[in-house]
Amino acid sequence: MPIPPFLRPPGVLSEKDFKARCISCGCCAQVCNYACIELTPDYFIFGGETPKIFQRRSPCFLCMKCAAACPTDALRNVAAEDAGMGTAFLDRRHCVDYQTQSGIMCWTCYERCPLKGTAIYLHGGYVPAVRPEKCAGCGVCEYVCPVGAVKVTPARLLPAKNGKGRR
Amino acid sequence: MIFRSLRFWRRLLQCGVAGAFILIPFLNREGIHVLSGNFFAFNFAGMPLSDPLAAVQVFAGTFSVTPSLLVGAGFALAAALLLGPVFCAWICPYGLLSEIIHKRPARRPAFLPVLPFQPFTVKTAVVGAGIAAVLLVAPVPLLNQLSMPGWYSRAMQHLALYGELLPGAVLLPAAVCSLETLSARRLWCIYLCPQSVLLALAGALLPRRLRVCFRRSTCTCRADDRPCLAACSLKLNPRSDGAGPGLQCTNCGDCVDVCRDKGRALNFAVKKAGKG
Repeated sequence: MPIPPFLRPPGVLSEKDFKARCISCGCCAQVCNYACIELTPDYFIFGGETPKIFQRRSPCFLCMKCAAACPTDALRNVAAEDAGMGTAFLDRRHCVDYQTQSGIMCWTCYERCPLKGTAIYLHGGYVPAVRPEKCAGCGVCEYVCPVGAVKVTPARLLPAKNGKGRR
Repeated sequence: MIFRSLRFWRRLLQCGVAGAFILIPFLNREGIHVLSGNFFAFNFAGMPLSDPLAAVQVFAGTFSVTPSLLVGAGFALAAALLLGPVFCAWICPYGLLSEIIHKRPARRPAFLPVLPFQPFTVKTAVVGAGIAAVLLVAPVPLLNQLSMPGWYSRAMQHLALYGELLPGAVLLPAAVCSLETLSARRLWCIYLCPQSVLLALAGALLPRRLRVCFRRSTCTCRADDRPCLAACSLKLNPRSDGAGPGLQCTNCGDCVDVCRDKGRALNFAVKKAGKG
């Protein structure tokens, strides 16, 4: 079974720099209040355990404690807006807010977004939309969406053009 | 009297550290973060402590190092500078395990002869190869995977955070322990442990530091009875007048303990190597 595209914790550097700096000390997972950071081996069972966030199981709430605890700056201590974990993509074909005949105003992603109004805003005052350049990629929207219309692409899988894709 | 024995205090500290690294992840899980981390990087109420080899690998991989990592590694190296590689004998949980295994009756199998290399040369080669791999092949702290105390503390972290054992943390130490049991020698600590190399080198930098000193004039043992040599689990010679017990001496004090009831020819002192 393929591993779902996990997120790195907030403040993450490019994947190459991150792996060069992460010494598997586990400080980030130990200070995480939401227990969303999982330390799992990168390669087979003897690979160094690096922190991962599986947003479908437990997303990041951008408390930024992990970044402050990282002794090697593999996670930079930055503002939540600059977490750079990835970017959310909202699929309008599946989002119930865009289905005119549904009559539902869900807004769950908008309401629960830690950067509410900035990363996810209400387009025209009615339907949620993502500002990719402002999105921290925390995964809360993907976690809360009742119909699976939101998916977060990790920064390491994004193209480098918008500054987030730092592969 | 047991309280006079250095070994008693050493065991107490070793067991205390091993126990602390079981307890700390559980405290962290309950929201108490005064102490956090593992043997690669540890936060002691705001004071960073880190494995110097991990810092060197991060530097080799990125050509930069954070103040926190630098200060943490600095503390560890400063302790080694003044006291020698005492981490190995007084703190390392794998050292404790290795010593317990070493106390079992010797059964040296034929397939494991005495290696024809200087032990410290082998260790240094392992570290050199690891750093070269970080520089040239993959900028990842590869040598961390050879850290036995690291595996111990990572295993305890996993147990506390996720309620499961880390497979690597069981398999690798179990393989090494089996080899040490069969060989009746502390193979890992003597020949392989990469983490001890920088500490041992730091201990060799200062001409004067705490070390085991031998006074031949007060030794009362016969030539065929050398309890201090038998006591050293690292197979070093504390009786050497010239260079002292050597780079690998961890100041465990076992030789000093056995000499206490003899002529007290061995003792700890802040002296130059080889100056009795």
